[in-house]
Amino acid sequence: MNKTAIALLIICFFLIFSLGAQAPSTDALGISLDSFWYGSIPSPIHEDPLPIRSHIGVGTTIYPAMVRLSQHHQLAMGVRLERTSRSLLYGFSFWRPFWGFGASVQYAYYFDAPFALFAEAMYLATIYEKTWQWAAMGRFSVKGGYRLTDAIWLIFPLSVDIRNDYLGISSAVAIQWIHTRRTQ
Amino acid sequence: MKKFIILLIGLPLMLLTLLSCELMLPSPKNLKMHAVFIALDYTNHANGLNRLAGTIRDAKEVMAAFEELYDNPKQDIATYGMFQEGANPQAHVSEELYPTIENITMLLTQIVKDLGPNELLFVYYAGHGTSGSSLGDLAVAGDNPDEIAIFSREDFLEALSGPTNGHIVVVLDSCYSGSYVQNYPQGLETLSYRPHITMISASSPTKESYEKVFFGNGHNHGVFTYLLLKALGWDHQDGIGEKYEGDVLVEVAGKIRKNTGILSDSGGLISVGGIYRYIKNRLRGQKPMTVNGPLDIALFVPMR
Repeated sequence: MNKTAIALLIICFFLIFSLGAQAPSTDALGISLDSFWYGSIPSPIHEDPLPIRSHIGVGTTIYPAMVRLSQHHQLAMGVRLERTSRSLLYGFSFWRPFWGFGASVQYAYYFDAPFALFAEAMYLATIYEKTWQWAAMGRFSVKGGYRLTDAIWLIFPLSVDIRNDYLGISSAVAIQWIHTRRTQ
Repeated sequence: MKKFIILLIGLPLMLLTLLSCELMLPSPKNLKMHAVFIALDYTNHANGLNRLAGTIRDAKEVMAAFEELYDNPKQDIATYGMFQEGANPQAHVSEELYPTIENITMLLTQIVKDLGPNELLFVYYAGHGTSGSSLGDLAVAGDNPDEIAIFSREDFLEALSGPTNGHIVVVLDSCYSGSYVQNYPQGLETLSYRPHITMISASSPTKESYEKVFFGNGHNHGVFTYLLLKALGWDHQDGIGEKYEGDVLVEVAGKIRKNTGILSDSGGLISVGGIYRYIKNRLRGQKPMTVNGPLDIALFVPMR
């Protein structure tokens, strides 16, 4: 991963936490825990016998900055940490496990009913667990959400990951807790 | 609206999960490893090349370790020992297994060509890597018994580069062997990247690889291979129990202990990445290397 990518990540983290400290919002903090199925889509350079390599993973995103723009619209910025397992073994081969951490920006639209739709863009630094090789990755997600209680949401994200050398897709189940601060 | 949203969420989830090819496609059964061990001790050389006291032991113990791991009804291993050992090396090995450039090329090319989709070729080399302009080239047996021949990096990789259905793992315990480890493409360019070949080298392209006495009775090993053996779960038993006939090692000391090495924390799976990490964490000075990128190869898969 080059210096520009690292600098970009540091700027993102700085912005997220400084905005979080000053956010004039009613929803102040969100924490999301998720488990996911992850599919790595090999490129022609890998000459892989399979069209998709299947992993599972767990992750968490913390949104220190959540800004409610109106009754229906919300903007949030967060930081994410996740671990993706090695892929299932096929013959002698598998794809390596990796860790990812990075920053995200999420837009949410709240319907009148207890439903919401989310769109999220992430910039993640990933590191393969065994070789400690770094790579940068962009992620774009759409999520459907259902409000279970005032503070707890059940969320189903679908994501596409873009790397230099291959693509990834994932489907997840997430629980998101939103702490509401009603000070203004 | 509610039904629509549930459908919107549920259908893609179901489709994505069903895309797990490893679950939907029949997995290859009856895995087979072809393992070629090339080692030279240079005892017979008249031209002043340093004798290496640990290379033959290295190769024979790694071979014994894999034979023990693969000793089960669902897995198969075929081993080929190409050794130049002792003062009269051609007396102890068949003509076609004497480690000359021609014999190594012929054997590797043939195995690569015949390799099936559920088969793995494992190539292990312990010997000198040359210095100078041709950094890291392998010093193998020459046509005359007291000469060596230089097996260039290009020719060695060429022998492994033919069309194949299987995977190839190369482990080199020699000086400057990092020059054999290919660069993983940064983008989608395919120049010179061979995804079916995975490597672990004992050293970086600029570092030497060392031997050391590990037990009191002159039990030498390459430091890299000693750790490789430990990663495989090999118990050296202090080197006691080796048997020689003249200057030829005919029986190694040691056996696999399944609760040690990386066997104990990987569910029994031994992978190139796992071995590399195990050695890298313990070896100072030589800088072992492996191929980057997402693809990894299992050298041993536990069968249940």
